[in-house]
Amino acid sequence: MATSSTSGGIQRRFAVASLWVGIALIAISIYFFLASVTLISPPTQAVVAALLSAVIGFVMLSAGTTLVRTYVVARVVEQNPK
Amino acid sequence: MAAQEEPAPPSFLSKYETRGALVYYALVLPAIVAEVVFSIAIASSSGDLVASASSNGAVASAVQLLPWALLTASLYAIYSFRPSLLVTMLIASFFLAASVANTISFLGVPLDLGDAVVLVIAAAFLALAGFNYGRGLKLLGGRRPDITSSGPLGYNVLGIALDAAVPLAAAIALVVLVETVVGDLGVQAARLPQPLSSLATLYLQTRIGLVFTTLFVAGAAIWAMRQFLEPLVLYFTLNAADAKKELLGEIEPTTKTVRKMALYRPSGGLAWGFLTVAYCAGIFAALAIFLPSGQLSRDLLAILDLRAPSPAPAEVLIQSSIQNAIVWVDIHFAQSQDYIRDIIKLLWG
Repeated sequence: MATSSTSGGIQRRFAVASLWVGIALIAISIYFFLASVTLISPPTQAVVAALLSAVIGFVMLSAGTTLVRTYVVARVVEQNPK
Repeated sequence: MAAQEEPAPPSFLSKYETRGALVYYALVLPAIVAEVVFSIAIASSSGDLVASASSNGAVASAVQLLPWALLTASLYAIYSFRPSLLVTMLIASFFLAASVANTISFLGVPLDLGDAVVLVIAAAFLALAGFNYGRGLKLLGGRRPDITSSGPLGYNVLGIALDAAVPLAAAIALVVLVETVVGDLGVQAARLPQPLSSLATLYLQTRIGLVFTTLFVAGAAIWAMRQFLEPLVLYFTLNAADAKKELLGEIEPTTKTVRKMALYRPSGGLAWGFLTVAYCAGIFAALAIFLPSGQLSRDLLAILDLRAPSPAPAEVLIQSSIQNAIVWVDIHFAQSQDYIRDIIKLLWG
């Protein structure tokens, strides 16, 4: 997220959009976790699909939280430039 | 003027005998007790690993001494205030006991794997709480903490909940989640296609497999918890100095690489030339030493195609004729030498 905007005289390099994208990724990862539980619950017995769904969930959770974490850290630094 | 009496300096052990220190010892004590339980289980085990190791004296001694070494390292961790070392030693002793020992018993009550996991998690949680308490004592430096709050009651309740109830609830939820998932994995493994089904079922029936699976599931659950909690905690607690450190830490590998590339100065290649010559000389010397006599020169000549040219038939004929002539000359020269020697004997005796 290298978009730059100006707010209160401080040049912001990390837009709020990165926060919302991160939250959206976390929400999608939760959906995949729930889907993996559904896939191994009766009557469905798609174990391999459930494992794949869980892996996708872990990857999206990692990506989303990394994005949110980077946004939070950058926001704190930008609010205290000195 | 009488000298004013100075207060006696505190003894070396005084800081280890305070009320706060006793609370710290009490909170980390379950971890040590758990390690002693696991060590006794390993030492009194007659499992396959110990039995097979008993054929080798050194290995058997190492297996028997390892839990006590872990226990010693844990006591050092408590003394030197290293929570990560203590938790690592606790999990290592648990892993060793679950892998080697036949039965783990606490005060005569046998513990199954689930009970042992609960014991480890509870001991680790209390130990971390103890280290947190000790860290607070070190920060206060003998002063009394101000725990009064002028805010609304809800904030106080929220503070207590975040400080104590949430970690305890997270630990209990982790135990329940791990037990549920590991218990359900056996059912799910049977649904896999063959031969994966048989392999997964057999793996989950072994003790090592169960321990590995439990640790993997617990690690994945803790990782997911941390992923959810870390941004929230950072959002409410991060200050500018720590944020800059975090950012610098994140870009440090990249800056190291860039700095290395910027400082890179290509050499003239002389060092590589020396290295190549030394390498070739080493190979040549090794071949000269280890190959049969003459083999190296023959091979080198064969490689360079410098072997003697094969003679033509006429040259072969001439060569053999010349060799026959040389032999004839040698024989007649020797005979002439004998004749001359006989003549000299006849003339001069």
